[in-house]
Amino acid sequence: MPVRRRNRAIMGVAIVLGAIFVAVDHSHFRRSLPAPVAGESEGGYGSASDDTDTSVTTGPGAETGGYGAAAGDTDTPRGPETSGYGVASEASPDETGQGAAATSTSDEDVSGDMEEYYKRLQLDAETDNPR
Amino acid sequence: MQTSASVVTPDKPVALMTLLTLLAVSLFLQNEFQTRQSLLFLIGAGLGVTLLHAAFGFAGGWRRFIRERRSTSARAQILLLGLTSMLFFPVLGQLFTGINAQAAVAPVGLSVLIGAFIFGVGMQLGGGCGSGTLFTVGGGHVAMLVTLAFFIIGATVASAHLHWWLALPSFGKLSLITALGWGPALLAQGLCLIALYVVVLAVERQRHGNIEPLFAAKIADSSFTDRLIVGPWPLLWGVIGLAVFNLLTLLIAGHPWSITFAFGLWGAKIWSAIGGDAASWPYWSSGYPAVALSRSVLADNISIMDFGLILGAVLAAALAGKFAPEDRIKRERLVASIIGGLLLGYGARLAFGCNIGALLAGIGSGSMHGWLWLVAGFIGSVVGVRLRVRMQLDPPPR
Repeated sequence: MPVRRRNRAIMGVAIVLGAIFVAVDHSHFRRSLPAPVAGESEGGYGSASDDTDTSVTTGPGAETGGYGAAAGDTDTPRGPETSGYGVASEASPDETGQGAAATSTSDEDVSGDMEEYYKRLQLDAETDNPR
Repeated sequence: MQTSASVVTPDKPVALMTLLTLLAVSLFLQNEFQTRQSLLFLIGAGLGVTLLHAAFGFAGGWRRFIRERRSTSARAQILLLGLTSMLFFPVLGQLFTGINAQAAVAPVGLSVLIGAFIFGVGMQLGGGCGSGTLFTVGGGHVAMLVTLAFFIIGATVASAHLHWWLALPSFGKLSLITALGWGPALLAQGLCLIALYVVVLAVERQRHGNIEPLFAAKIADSSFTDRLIVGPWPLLWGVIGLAVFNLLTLLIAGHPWSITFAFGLWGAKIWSAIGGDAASWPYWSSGYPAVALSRSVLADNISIMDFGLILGAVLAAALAGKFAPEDRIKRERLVASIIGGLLLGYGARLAFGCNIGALLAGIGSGSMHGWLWLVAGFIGSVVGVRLRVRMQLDPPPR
C-alpha cells in the first residue's frame, strides 16, 4: 500500500476511534442522568434559547479549578490547566456570578420536557463548577 | 523557496467531509449543551486553521534557534506574547465592566520549574508542543498520533502523582496585574518582551551577520483570498489569528485558551472505562476535575476546543493539499515519540499547562509562573535538542 494511502487510512481509523470514544462517553453521561419527574409539564423555565443565551452564561472561571486556592479565594482562580487542589469547589453562586442560576434541580424546576430538563441539568452542572 | 499557489491541489473530499463535520458538531453542541460550547468548538477550529496555515509551532522554532540561531519563529512567539498581553491585560484588569474573565495565575514553584523542564525535553523529542502536537495530528502526521497517545498517558499518570509535586516549595501566586495594576504591569511586561526580542535578534545577527525577515512572503503570486484559504500564511497572520482567537476564548469561556487539561481528562476517562478508579485519585476527586470526570467530555471547554483544533487543522491541511503526507516512521522516530509524549504529558500536568495553557496564557495574564515556564522550558529544549542528536533524529549542529 502506498505510504500516503496508508497514512490516510491510519488517520481515518484514529478519527473514528476518537469519535467512538466521545459518543460512548456522552451517551454514558446521558444515561446517568436521572429521569424527569412526570406531570411537571407546565411552567418550566422558558425556551431553550433562554437557557442557552442567558442563564447558562458562565461566570468567571466557571470551568476552572483554581491553583490551590482556598475556598472563597477569588482573585486567582484558573482554568482547566490547574491542579484543582484545595480549590473553591464549593463556590457559592454569588462567587461564580451565577446568582439564581445555581439553584438545584428541585421538583419545581423539573419540566416534563426531557430536553428542557436535560439542559437544566447541564446548567446546574455548569454552575456547580468551582471557580 | 517560493511556492506558486497554482500548484496547490486541495484535497476536496477530505475538506468537504471535515467542513460538514464541523458544521454538524457545532449544531449538535448548540442543541445538546449551549451556544457557548458551539462557539468554543468553532474557535478551536479557527485556531487549528491558523496554526496549520501559519505553521506556527513552538518546538520547531525553539529548536531552530538553539541549533541554527535563527530566530524568526522565536520572534513571532514574542510578538504573540506581546499582543496577547495587550489584549488580555485591560480585560483582566477589569477596565471593561461586565466582563468576567479569569487570569491564568499559578504558583511559582518547583512543580512549574521541573514540569516545564520536562516538557521542554519532551517537546523536542516528541516533535511538537501542546498546540503543535494537535495541529500536526490534524495535518495527518502519523508519528504525531503516537506522540499524542503517550502525551495523554503521561498527563494521566501525572495526575495521579500531582499531589506529591504540589507539596514541593513554592513562592505562591505572583501576578503583575494584581501587584502593579494592569497599565504599569503591561508596560513592565512589554519592556521585558522587547528586551527578549532584542536579545534573540542580537544572537541571530552575531551568528549570521544578518536577520531573517519576519514577514517574508512565502507566496509571490497568489491573491489574498487564495492565500487565506489554502495557505501558507505569513507568521504575522498566525500571531494575529492566535491572539484574537485567544481573546475570544477568554471572553466566551471566561479563561484563556488551554489544551492539556483535556488530555488528562481523556486518559482518566479511558482508565475508568477499562476498570480503573481515577475518580479516587486526589486530583480527580474534588473541584472542577471531579466535575469534568463525571460528565460528558463534550461539556468540557478544553476538550471541545481541542477537538475543534484538530478538525480545523484537518480542514486547513486538506485545503492546502497537505493532509496525511508521505511520512515513513523510522524506529528512532517512534521511540522518540513515545518518550517525548510521556514527558510532554507528565511535564504539562506538573507545570499547570503546556506552552499554551502555562506559557502563553500565563504570560498573557501577567503571571510570573509563565515566565518561569519560559526559562525552564527553554533549558529543557536545549537538553532535548542534544538528545535528538544522540538519538540520530537530527545531524549534529554545524
